[in-house]
Amino acid sequence: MTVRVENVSKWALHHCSFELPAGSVTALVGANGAGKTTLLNILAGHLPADFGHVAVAGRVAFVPQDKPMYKGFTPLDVLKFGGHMNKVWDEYRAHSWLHRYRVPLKLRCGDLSGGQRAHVAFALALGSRPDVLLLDEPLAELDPLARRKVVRDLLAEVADTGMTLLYSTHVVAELGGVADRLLLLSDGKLLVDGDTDELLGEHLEIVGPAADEPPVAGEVVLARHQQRQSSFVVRCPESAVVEEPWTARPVTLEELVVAHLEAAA
Amino acid sequence: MKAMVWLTWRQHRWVLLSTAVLALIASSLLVAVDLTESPGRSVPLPAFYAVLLQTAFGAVIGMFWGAPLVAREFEERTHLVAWGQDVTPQRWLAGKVGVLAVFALVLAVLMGQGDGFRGYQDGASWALFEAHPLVQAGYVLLGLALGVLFGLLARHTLTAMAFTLAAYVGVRMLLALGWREHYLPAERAVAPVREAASVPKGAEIVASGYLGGDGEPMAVPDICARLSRPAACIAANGGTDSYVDYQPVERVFGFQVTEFLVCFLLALGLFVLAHERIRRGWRPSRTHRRLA
Repeated sequence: MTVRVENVSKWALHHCSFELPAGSVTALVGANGAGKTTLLNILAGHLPADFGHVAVAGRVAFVPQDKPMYKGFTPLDVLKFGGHMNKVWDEYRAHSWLHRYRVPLKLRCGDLSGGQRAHVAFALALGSRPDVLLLDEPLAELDPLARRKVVRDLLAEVADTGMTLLYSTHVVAELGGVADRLLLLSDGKLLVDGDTDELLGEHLEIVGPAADEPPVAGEVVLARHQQRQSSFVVRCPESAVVEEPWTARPVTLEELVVAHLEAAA
Repeated sequence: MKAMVWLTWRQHRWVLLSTAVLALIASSLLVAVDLTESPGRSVPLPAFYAVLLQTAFGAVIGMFWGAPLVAREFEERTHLVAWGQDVTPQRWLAGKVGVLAVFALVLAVLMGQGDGFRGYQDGASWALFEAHPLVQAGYVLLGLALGVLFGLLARHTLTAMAFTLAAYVGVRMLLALGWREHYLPAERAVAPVREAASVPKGAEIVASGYLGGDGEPMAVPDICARLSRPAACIAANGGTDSYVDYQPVERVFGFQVTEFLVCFLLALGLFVLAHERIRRGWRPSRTHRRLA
């Protein structure tokens, strides 16, 4: 494990516990105000937890949601800053990220666009070769095309260096195929914590005639009843069998997240 | 260390340079006036402005160097960048304050060279107590430490600047009006009640009055206080001697050293407070307790 959170409470967060294995990519999902940023700040060491214990193995890099950066620094200055302020610094890695996204190196950061400034922040974080990379809403400033590219490149960095990536997002549609773990926060409580493939295998949407209970044993995440039809999102063992007149289909990650959030709301 | 020198210079070079230019101009004016041929008790107008800057120099350093140091990082949220690297927040603070303090000390020594009066003033003088490199050095350290601590507490540059100015002026007034004359017990000159006690040339008078029969200072009775020459009245009411408490001019240098030490220790205490505050607020983010 590279990240261990034990029973942590702070402001909106209530008794959160989870662990992240080394080299994993974890999406931290939740509605606004669910406590995502608080959790990341605690992990990055910028906020002390009121209660509980956080431990991180190795060096942490954290990119906050608003991508703060010294306005008077050029991206080249930021790279120099990274080199001076860190014991481990990979100039090539940082530089090539800026190059890849065509960030002008000699403009002041205050004059860069929001997306370009985000790339400067990513370059600084990646250049320090962290063991754990924490990103708060990393894709917020980026256009849809750049989002895919950034996600792909970040995953390549993870595969390349073996670092652990934890990023928060509320754009549920972009989760598919990216995160191999999912942390779902709602009102400061951890609703779901698990491997995305396992979670997808466990969740079924079952539709059939109006009924109070689904035809399989398991945890009912969400139940919707119409006049003649009931549909359930159920968390049940993969071996569960659904018989006529019920029909079952697997849910997408987006549906899974929305079902849990809707049930908690 | 090299990292913090680079970072401090890169972030603060313009304010450092402009303060240095200002200090150079003021200091050269003061020294130039000092070196003019005709001695006198007048201060030429340009030198007057230089003296103003000399008086306020510690406050300038505190407000424009110290207060924004941490407060601006909070305002721009760049403290998340600065304190998210391998250099710990404590070392960041110590490095920055250290570099700025050295720079400020150099400027303070410059600012303490002249006094603004025409002609070279021979020897020490109580009136020009603050026009001394050592005293100026103490003041800039005090201003810087006040600014840094208020910046860390207020997290807002303008608020921190205002608090720094107020606190700095307060401490300077306390030093000048209350504490300074008590660094050593005053000497006492005594004369018969109808004569004035004579005080050595250049001494700073701390207190004066009349001694009763027991040799202790006595309160002047109301009926005597109204008289323009109260000596006879005082004598009739039991006064035996007149006295003057003073600090002789030979003590000026020793007091300047003491003033520096007082400011230095105050500054050191304030810096330790700031350091502790930052240490408890921010765990060094990259030296988390390792997982077993």
